[in-house]
Formats: sequence, structure tokens, C-alpha cells
Amino acid sequence: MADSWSDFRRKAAIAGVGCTEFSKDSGKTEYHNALRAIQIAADDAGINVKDIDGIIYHNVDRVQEWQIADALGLKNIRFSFQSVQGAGGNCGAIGIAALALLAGKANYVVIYRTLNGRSQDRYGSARGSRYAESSAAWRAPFGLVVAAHMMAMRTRRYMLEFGAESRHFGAVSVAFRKHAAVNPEAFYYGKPITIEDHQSSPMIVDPLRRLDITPEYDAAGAVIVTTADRARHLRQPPAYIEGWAQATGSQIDPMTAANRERITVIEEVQYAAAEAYEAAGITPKDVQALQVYDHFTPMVIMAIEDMGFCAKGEGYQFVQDGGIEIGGKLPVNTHGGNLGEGYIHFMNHIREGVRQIRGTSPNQVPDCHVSMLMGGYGVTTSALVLGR
Amino acid sequence: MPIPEAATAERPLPIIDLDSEPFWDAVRNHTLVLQRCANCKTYRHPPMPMCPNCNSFDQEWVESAGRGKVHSWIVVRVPSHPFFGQVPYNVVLVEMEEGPRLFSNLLGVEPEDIYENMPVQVDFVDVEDDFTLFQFRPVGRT
Repeated sequence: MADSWSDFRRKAAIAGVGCTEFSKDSGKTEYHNALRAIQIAADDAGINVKDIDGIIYHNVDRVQEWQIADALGLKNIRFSFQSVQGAGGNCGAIGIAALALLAGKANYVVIYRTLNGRSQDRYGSARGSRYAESSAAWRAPFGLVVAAHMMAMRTRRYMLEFGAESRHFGAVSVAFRKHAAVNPEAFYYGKPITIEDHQSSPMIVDPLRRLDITPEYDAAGAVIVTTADRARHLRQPPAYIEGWAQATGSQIDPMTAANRERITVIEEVQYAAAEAYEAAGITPKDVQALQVYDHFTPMVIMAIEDMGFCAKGEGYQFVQDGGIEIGGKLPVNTHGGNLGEGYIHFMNHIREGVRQIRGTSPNQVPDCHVSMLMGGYGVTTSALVLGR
Repeated sequence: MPIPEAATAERPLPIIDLDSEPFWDAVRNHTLVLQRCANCKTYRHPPMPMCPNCNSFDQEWVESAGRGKVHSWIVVRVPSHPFFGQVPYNVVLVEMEEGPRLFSNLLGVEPEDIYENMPVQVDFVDVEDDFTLFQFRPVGRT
């Protein structure tokens, strides 16, 4: 019996990826967009959508697995499951898909996420809900109502503890917009920014400026996972699953971690990264390209620290002077991330992680054979290491 | 098509359940209580059924001294909720002397005058006929 992931290393792979266009109004239902993304991913892999026999959908998605199966005309979904916490669970869902595939429970598993996040359901504004339950009950009555507020609270603490300033966060925004500027699929294609643009963008929730905060989009994304044996006979070079991990951290209280010992430490990232490195048999030094969730620029800095790329409190220096740009110490979000390409709960980050392995990124890292992904955090999160 | 707005300009209120009822009942009476494990005496917040330290279900509610210090804070400058349309406003994370950290608002202070570890004292505001909110004020400025 296998008792460690290393027995499964490189035995499953991402064979296809697809995202719809990032827009402010897709003019389509989330259902429509999900099916389109799945079709793009299946075409990318070179399979027929009717080959899909496993589906993982998100616990925050309105479009459920049976709707996908019905519209694709699938007679039998042999494996279905749920990914957790939007952007947090995607990498873990791919790992779970690998386990199902290697146990013979499916041949082709699709993971998807669809959200009309601008025209329909804006995460950046609380829609005047009168009652707050669970963790929101302890913050919404005071006006702490959206993710930007929660992460601004952690950002302020980070500034107090380590001496970071707003302009330091701007380097993250500048780097990702630089990457997006040469990515034809990016919403901000051809639109780089300067640190001055960042510093003159309005303070939305002090200490976060507009250019620290991911914009909202309509989009859908999908990933096709299959066994390595099958993947080798498909259209694209396989992006092998070297390792993965899922983690929460203590007192996570999404997304505030208010009663964690240190709110500036993203414990779930520490745990997920450490376990994913071990599963893949690598160390941070081996990572050639990193796609990390970028809902807010200071959180990227904290995540880079907590993944072990630099010491705690040194991340805001690490990202300066092109440190996370292509050609820098650690190229991060080479597609532009949420801030530059688009936002669909990490599905486009996964697409980019796969592109780095295929050699087709708009900001290609030369000879990339270790591509790392760190999903959304502040909630249950997950990490993935892809190899060539 | 946009999801219809709830379009309420009313304050979001907590859904109170059996775990949190003693806390909000006390606030209604202008008292701040904190949940503590009756077994290992560890404080916890938000209220939950079990002690994260020793996993005991036995709990007690202890009246807080109401004193704490500002652990972190934000200043909202662009509104994200129809009720909280008056900007700027602050939200603070207060670390109580007893240990737990609570979100709240700091009254009677300009945003630029908030600082790390600023000593604060609890206060109570009857924001609705049947709902009281705990707030904080800088110590010595009640």
C-alpha cells in the first residue's frame, strides 16, 4: 500500500487548460461560460468532452456538477467531488483528481470555476445584506464587510511589524502589470503601470490602494487532469503532477485570522508549501516560476515569505528592483495574475503554471521544469508543483 | 443580469445562536463578557462550543475589564456597503488584556490619530431599539 505521495509522483498530469475571455460583462450565464471553458480545455487536451467521466466543482460555484454533465450529454459521471473555498482549493482538487485517476475511478477529470464576478456577483461590495452569520457576525456589524477590509487589517499589522510602506506594495502591482502587458489574453494587455501610478491611485481602504486590489471580472476556467499514460498520447506535452498539498493553519477565521498568534503569518501557506515541496522532492531554490494568488499585493509579499523564498519580514524588499519580474530572482505571476490578466479564482494561474511547463508562456522562463502554484489563502488553501 | 441588491441601508446584524447568545445578551446590558474554558481557563474568541486548547466543552463567561490596545486598524475611504456609506470610518482589531482580539470601531478619534498599542476602553452604543454594539474609546476620553 502506498503511504506517501512520492509513489504517485508524475503518474498523473494536467492535459488541458482553458479560460474564457476576461471581461466586465460576459453577456452569458455562468453556466454558459463554464461549458465554454471546459470545451476550450478539452480541445486543448485533444479529447472529446464526452470522454470526461469525473467532475470536481467548487463549493462556492452556482453551477453544479450535474448541470455540466447534463449539458455535455454525459451518461455517467463516475467520480464527482467538491473543491473548497474558491481560489484556495483548486490545486488540492487537482491532487484529489490525481488520486481518483490513479485508483481507476475516472479517466478524465475536469475541474472548473465560473463566476460573473463583475456583471453579476461582485465580491468587492457587500450587497447590503442585513444579517451576518458565522465569522462575519463578528466583523460586519462594525463595517468590516469585504475581503479588502480583512486583508487591509493584516497589511497594517505587517507594516507595523516590519516597516513596510505602501510604495513597497506597488512593486508587486508593477511587476504583474508588466507581465500582463505582453500577454494578449490579459485584460491589461499593453497597459503597464509605474510605481507613480500605484502611489497616485486612490486609497480604497487604508493602507490598500486601488492598484493593490484585484479588479473584478466575468470569466470561467477549466482544467483537465488524466493519468500520465493517457496524457502522453494527447495533444499537449503533459504537465506532470510532482506534488501537491492542502492546508488550513490555526484559527483561520476566513480571511482575518484575527485570533491567530500572528495575523501576519499565513500559516496555511507555510504548511501547504512545505508539504508540496516534500511531495515533489524539491526545495524553494528549485522553483523556476511561481504563480501565487494575488487578491491583494501585500498578501503576495507575505506568501512569498511564508513559502520560504526569503525570511519573514524581508519579502517587501525581495519584490523590489524587479525581484519577482521575468528575469528576476523569482518570476511570479508570469501571466499577470489577478491584477493584470484576470480573476477567476486561480484557474488562470493554473493555466499559466501549465504554460510554463509547455514553454508557451508570454513571459517564458527558459527551460522551465519546476512550475509552482500557490492557491488562494486566508482560507483553506492548496499548492501544486508541476514538472515536465 | 445583476443579482438584485438587498438594497438595505441598515446595519448588518449578527445572527445570534446558542453559542454566541450569552455574549450579545451581556452587551445588551452594557457588559462585555468573554468566553473562557472552565477546564484549562484559556480565553477564546469568537465564541465556539469547544476549547481549542484542551477540547473541553465546559465553558464560562467572564466579565472583561474592557481594556485593550489597538493591534491593527483600517480606514475605509471608499464604501463597500450601503449602510457604511459615511467615509472615512475606522475598524480596529483590539487585543483585550485577557488575550482575545475583537473587531470593533474606535470612537472619538480621527483616523490619523490611531496608533499601534493605543490603549482603549470598551463602550456601548444602543444602535437599534433592540440591539447594542460594543465599541471602544481611547482611554481617558469617554
